[in-house]
Amino acid sequence: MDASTVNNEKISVRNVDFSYRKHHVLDHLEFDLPLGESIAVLGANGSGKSTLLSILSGVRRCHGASMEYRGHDLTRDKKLRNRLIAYVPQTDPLLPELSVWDNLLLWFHGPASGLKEALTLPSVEMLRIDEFIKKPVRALSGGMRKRVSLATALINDPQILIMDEPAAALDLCYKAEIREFLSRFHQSGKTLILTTHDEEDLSIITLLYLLKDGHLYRSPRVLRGDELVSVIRGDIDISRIMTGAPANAGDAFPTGGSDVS
Amino acid sequence: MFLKLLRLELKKSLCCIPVLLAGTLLFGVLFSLVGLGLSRVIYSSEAIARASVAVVSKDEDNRYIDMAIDYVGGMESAALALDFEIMEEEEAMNALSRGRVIAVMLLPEHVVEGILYGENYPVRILFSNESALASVFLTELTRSSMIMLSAAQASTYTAAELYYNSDRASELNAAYNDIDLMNFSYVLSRERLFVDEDALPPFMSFVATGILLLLCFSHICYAPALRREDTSFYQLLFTRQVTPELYLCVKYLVNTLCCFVLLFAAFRIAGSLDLPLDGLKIHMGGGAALLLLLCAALLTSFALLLEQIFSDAGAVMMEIIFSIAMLFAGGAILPAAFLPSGLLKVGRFLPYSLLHGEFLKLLTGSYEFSVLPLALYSLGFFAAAALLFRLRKEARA
Repeated sequence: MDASTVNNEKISVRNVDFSYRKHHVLDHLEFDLPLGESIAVLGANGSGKSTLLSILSGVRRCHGASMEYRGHDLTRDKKLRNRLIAYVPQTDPLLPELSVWDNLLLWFHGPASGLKEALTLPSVEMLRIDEFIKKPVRALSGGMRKRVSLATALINDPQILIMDEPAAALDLCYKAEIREFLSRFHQSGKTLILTTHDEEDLSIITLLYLLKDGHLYRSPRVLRGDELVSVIRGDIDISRIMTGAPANAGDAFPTGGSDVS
Repeated sequence: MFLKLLRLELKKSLCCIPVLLAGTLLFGVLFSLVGLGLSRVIYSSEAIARASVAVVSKDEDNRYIDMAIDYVGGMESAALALDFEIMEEEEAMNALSRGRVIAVMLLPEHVVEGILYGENYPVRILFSNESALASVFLTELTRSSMIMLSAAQASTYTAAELYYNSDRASELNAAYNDIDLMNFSYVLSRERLFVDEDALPPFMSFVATGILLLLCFSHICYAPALRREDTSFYQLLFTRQVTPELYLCVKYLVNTLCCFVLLFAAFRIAGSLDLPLDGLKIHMGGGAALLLLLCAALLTSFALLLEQIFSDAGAVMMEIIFSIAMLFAGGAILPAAFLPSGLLKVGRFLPYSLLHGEFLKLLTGSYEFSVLPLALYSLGFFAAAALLFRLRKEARA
């Protein structure tokens, strides 16, 4: 556990409630995101994992929700949120006709002159995109595109990286490469939040959340194998495995990763 | 962020320009080949090698008939494809049945005298029913002949009445031949006196159609620039306070501007060349610039709309199909005479048909353009594209 977690730095997320027409996917969730952790949000298909991540990253609006960080509500202070949090969607948010440089420039907060310097950031340098920075995105392989997608998120040096299915549609080599990168990103003291269907990804996870029936549960440990499948599928009573209770049951979700062990 | 988007969208559009130029060249060649092929289909081998019309006269050695045939044979539409041959009735009917002639005109005995004395024996025309093209030409010829003969008849009666009124009726019979010859000679030479400066040469319509189709087809090379981006791209834009609809506006504006600059440059170049096309006077005033801007906006908004409805490849295919269909229905591809009047009425209100009409004006140096309907169409297409874009986004959510 790194210094930021020890300092109990966190984002307090409150009243996240979301429905797709009549389907209530997120039921008044209230939880804390401990900074410095590598967090996975798991759940069955359609359980609302991507929706939750998109709300946390500001991609989707959720009326009435709040995300408090050092006294600021990130749902209102969008500048701070964009500086603090970066989001990498499941598919690559790139303009294929443009070069890698132009794509980075689009998402870079500063002027073009500052981009070169931003490329020397350790987290960006790790991605080795300078090898193909002048190439148009359409000429890149899937793995290279994923690296560029990551770079567009990291170019502004965020503290929190939110990724929706980081290894989706990648071959085994690229999956391992991305996983290696994410591990190093987390080891540098930053926060990683991701959803995944790939158990291998759990090797870099320090904290596990499970989203089920609109409620968010936190696992006391990173579950693996059959145990994890049984919990997701509902074969095992989730309350027997997970500590904490659904937020709408009145029992507040424990704050801070160190509170649950 | 907005300025960055503008700049990058412009760059994206500029990236398409080499493809656009290559595409224009390719489509130009393709279009020429297709046009050549179509002309061979429409004007089938017999018709393109000129068709013959048999003229059967019961009168022997009637110089009025020769003059009339010379006249109609010299008319623009007839001269394009028809030859008139004087034949015996039996020979003419055989030729019609064998398909050597496409029609037989049966002139009754004393047809000219009948006209002179007001008997008006009807002239019968037998068609082979094989060629719609021939029927169009001959219908026009028949109408023209009727007008010409009625004018000649009126003149002859007027002359006769003058003779009667001046008590010179006894001289009338002797004077008839002179009167008729004078009359015909004036009628025949009259076309030299009526020169319509504003009339469009027939090929000009096809030039306008060609240019418009070339524009539509080459604009398809812009498809990558107009393509819908991945949903994730719009999601990230949203975090930067740029709504997808705003981005759609940026796309529309930038691509309209790029397309306009290219169109304007192309017309400037074409205008500066001394093209060997009779009647081509490309006017590049403010009105023309506005028209080209609207053309660019219309092409862009229509392509954007199709992008919202179909997949990438589908949108390109549909742009080709709709462009040709709209021009066809407006009478820009086949002459209006070949199309049902209902289709023509509808076709004239279609955006590409309107654009065709305005292009014709531009090519012939007209200073007056009806830009309002085109502007409304362009905005309408864009509004529909934005609405569909929004509906799709909500449906995805």
